[in-house]
Amino acid sequence: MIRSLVITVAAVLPMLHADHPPDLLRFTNGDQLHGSFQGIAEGPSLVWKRQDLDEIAKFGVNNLRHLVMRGGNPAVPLKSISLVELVNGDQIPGMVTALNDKEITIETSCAGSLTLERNKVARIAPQPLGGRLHYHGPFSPEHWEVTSYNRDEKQHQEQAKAEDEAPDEKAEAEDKQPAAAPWQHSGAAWYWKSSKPGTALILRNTIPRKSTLRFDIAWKNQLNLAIALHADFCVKQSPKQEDDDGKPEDKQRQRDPFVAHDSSCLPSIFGNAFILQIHSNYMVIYRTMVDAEGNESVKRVQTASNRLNIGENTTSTFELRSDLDNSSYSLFLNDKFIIQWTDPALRNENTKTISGNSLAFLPQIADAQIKISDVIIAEWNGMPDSARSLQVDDQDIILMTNGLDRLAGQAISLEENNTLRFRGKHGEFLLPLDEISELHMANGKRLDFEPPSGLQLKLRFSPMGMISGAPLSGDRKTLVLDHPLAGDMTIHNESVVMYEFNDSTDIFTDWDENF
Amino acid sequence: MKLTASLCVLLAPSLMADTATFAATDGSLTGVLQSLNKNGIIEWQSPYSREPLKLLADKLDQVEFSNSPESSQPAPIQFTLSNGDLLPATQVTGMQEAGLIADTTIAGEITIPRAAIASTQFGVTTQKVIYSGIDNIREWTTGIGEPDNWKRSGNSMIASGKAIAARDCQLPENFVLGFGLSWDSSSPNYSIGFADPLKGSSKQNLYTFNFDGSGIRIMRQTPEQSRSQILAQWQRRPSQFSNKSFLVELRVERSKGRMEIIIDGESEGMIVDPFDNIPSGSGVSIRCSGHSGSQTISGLTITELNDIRTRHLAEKRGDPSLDCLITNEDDRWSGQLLSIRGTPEPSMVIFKTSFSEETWEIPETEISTLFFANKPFQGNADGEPAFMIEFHGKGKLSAKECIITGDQVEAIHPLLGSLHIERSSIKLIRRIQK
Repeated sequence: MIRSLVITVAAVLPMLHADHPPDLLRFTNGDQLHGSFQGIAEGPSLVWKRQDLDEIAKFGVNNLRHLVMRGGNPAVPLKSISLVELVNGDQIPGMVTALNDKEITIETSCAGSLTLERNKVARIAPQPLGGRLHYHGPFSPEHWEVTSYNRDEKQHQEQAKAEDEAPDEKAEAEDKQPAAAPWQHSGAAWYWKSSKPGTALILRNTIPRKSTLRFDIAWKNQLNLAIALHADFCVKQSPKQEDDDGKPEDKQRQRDPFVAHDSSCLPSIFGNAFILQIHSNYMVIYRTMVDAEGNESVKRVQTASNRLNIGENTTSTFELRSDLDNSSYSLFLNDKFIIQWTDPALRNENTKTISGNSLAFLPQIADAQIKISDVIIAEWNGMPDSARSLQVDDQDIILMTNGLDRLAGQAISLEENNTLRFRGKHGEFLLPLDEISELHMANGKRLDFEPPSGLQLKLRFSPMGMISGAPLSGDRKTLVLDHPLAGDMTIHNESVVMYEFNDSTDIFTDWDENF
Repeated sequence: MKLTASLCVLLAPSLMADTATFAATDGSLTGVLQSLNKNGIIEWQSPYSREPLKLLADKLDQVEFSNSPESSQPAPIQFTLSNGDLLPATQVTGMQEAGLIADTTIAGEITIPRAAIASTQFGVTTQKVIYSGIDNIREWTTGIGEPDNWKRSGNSMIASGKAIAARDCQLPENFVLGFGLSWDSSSPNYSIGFADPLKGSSKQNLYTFNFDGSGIRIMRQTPEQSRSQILAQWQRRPSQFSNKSFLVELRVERSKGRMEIIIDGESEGMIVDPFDNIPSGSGVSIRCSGHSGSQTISGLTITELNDIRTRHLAEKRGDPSLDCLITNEDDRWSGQLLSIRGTPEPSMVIFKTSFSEETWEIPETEISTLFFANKPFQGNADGEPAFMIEFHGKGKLSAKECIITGDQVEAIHPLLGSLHIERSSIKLIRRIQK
């Protein structure tokens, strides 16, 4: 159980400037505190301010899990999602301004100009993901819904919703013992903590018609999770009935309750959708259908193989590329192609074709322990294969923004008027940087990175970007980091939405100690 | 019903006889097609008639020619025309305003209008054969199991009872394994191992194709797992094969950890191997354990799999207003094909990409596929084609008219116009059903 730091206050005062929600600090023992981040002091320690504290507080960073700034919102969002990825996984927001056989210079969006040895750079992405970014998170619960299809849980939710609290009271209430909810948001992830399946985590109206959808799932023990893709929630409209007082009954109460392992209930939950039923060893794809008359059906999408080997107690990255207009869907797991399929409902004139744009996660078994993080939704440029599958040891690979053109060779230099000189097998080319989606540096020429010991703080940016390093000092607006590849860096915090302290590779340390 | 029984045989049928197949009935006639005139009258020299028969071309389904090709290899260049026809060629010698100039294997040098071309593939060859047929049964059975349970018949191995065979077939990294299975056993049970290290130990790293009363399965054995894992399965039981036989083709890409299964010519899908440590063995093993009757494996062939051209041809077209070039190394560029320089050999393709002002000079030998921009082109628009001419190797052209005089065929192609085709290159001429 998460324990709360209970604070008795005489009066509730505004925490921060009225334009932004307060910052939130989470501790390694589960405590959490709203307030105002003031910077990093010697220790290193985090300096914290609350108006109900007599003086500022300092917390040793070794005791901290997350700092969520401004409710997960940037003070100034980054204008561009272009980034440079380093060999340690950092994604520095910014654009390359110089490149030669030894060095690469980045004009960062948050730390000025940075010059690195070329072998420290893994990827340059002037237009990453091949298209417009629609969503990256979850840095806050905003835009997400939690909906129960289990009758008991539904009543609990309605009761909680009926308690209309003011924002400040809500903040105070969250400092107290929080109500146990099946889906809980913490840091940059959603956690499933319920012993009773049937509550879905929903992100509505975010998936474009031609999209790449990527997310990380971590789990403990057996995995049994239904992922609804392109759901339209066009469920059967039950005929209006009146309760004893003559008021129309809520149609949700008439919906059949969720039944674990019963795919026939899925259309009444998600409407028209593809449902990926993911298990530790295999996967089944269903197409749920609701026709024009409201008749519901489920069809299993036939595939040659439904084998997965993702095991227990682990984490995986799922990527779905979908093109609704051409009814083409491809699934990648950990950057490896798994399966491709089309919509079986195309042959049925009465059935609606897939047109939904929502995503949902629905655990299927009791006592499941699941974490959802790093959700990225972007327009897809049609790139047929995972970019990582094109990596070769001795050549750089360029992928162009049209999603099809590609070239292997060597990036020579960045010329004036923002063109990249690239030497292919059959000649040298000057390629406009704004026509390049990604440049992957040759695998075999990258630095073999050894993670440093000691605390490594991760800064997450909005909409994209992540920089890590040992915190040295700073105030609310800037932070000085000792970066493992770039040395001392001064980061401007205006686009930072989260500090992650003590980020362990063990997926369980973020979770409730009772698990 | 053949006509031979009702006619007095005056001459023995020629060993090199053409075959005409009639449309209305299932009859056929052997002989030699001497000519086909523009009125659609075929002069047919039958061995059963002193005078040539006059056949009505529109009453025939097809004529299959007896001439054997000089080579069974497909031509190295394949043009796909905008109407779907396939034109084989040996070299592209140049490009003019009128179109591409190509040396074709069937009609000499012709000019192909650019707008008539959908795509061109270079370097088309048959796949390298690694192993073909079971020529020496001892190579498969010596020292393994009970060799006497195997018998050889032609290119087949027939097992009576429990039988094991294995051979190091020098499997390359990517290969196609094809074979036929047939049985008169009431309960056939096949297990064909491939990428087999042939070590004989219990925990091996290999794939197996299994067929028995449960259906068809592709299994994976790994040293790390105590039991074989099913990668894919189909509920196709022996009783569902009315002929008690079927053909299998396994297209294995170990470099990508996946394979495609084709049963009786129909693809059953692509399977991805989710396990690490892809099997690297080079052997094939066969285990039969039907309890009664016999089980046969026949026509076992192994070819190298290099499907780069098939893959490139299947890629998304992209912007149809642009030409597109894909190299053998998988580089791909959209842009404009500026010219082709035929000499000195090899031919050089000059291409300008959409992203750069520079031009690209690439030897034709390094190009896999060229997609041509879609441009309106009607060609000779009068009338629909009446014939389809199919060539030895790979190639087919539709024709509105077809006149055969001796060794020459004059055809009017809807896009290419008048063509003079070598009769010896033609495999058959088929009437297009309307």
